[in-house]
Amino acid sequence: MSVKIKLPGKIFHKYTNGQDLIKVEGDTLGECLNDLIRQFPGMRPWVFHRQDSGQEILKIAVLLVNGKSVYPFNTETPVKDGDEITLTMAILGG
Amino acid sequence: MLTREELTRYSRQIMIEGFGEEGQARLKEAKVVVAGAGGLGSPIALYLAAAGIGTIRVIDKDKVELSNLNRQILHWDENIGQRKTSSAGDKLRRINKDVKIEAIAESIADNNVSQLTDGFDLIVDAMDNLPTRLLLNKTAVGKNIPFFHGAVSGFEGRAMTVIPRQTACLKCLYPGDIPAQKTPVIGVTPAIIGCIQATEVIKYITGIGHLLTNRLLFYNGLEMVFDEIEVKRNPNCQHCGTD
Repeated sequence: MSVKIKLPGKIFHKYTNGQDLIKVEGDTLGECLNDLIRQFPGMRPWVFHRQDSGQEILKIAVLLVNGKSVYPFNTETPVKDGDEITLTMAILGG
Repeated sequence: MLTREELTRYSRQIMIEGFGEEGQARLKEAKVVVAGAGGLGSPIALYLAAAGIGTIRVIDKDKVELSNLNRQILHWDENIGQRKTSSAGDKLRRINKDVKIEAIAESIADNNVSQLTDGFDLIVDAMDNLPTRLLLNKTAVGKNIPFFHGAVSGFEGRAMTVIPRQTACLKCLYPGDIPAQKTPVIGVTPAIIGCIQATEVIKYITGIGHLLTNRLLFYNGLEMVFDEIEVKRNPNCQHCGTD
């Protein structure tokens, strides 16, 4: 499946060569995210958090598919050809 | 009822259309919890005090450190080593003597969060970690009082307002659990996000304008871009879900 990942707010410009809309391939959210990381390795720490146990958990805070909220979502969440996925990751400082 | 001095002190905001003396009186009656007296808590508490919020309860367990001073503008060199609540309380009372400041030097936890927020009208998130933010969100949803979220990293910030059981809550936004991390930050970023949170608080109390609900606001200071995305309630949300 060919899917576009949209990263709002120009937050990740320095990791994506200034791109906000990135074409990726995958049948699930996890596959799409892995393709995003394959193209832009600097995105990995923003997408996944590695726990002390070694297990990686998604750092994604919000996921919209074609502009609509998706609940629940995880790496197995399916995507369809032509979907536009908007996502953003957690920031937590205060 | 506003005194003659208050009518003068707040005259420029009373002039705002839809605000008026009634809006000012509502601010005077309001009781607001500011959870955290750091980068976000400093501008939030300062501007809420200056605006004439009647009672502000500032909660923070930490002491002032030198590395705080680039952004936590309630605290100065002379306060290093003091409780942040002591330092914050002193400044806030000096900026507006009419505001009742309750400074509580406690760690917000499961066993005290309900008591710490009892009798207050709303909670402002000025924390630096997700677990405590989610605890406050859950408490706000349980007490049916609004919650004003803000977070920063570097030159980037986010904000969202939560009206429990009406709009998406923080747990809808962050269904997972991400542990606390030390975050890079420059003072201007929490200044902007904290002022957005304080703006939302004032709007909510006075009943004017449109709240930042069901929308996550992004601020990117390096690109100087504001952006937002829609966030809908999660029907299976562990805090506010309906299913």
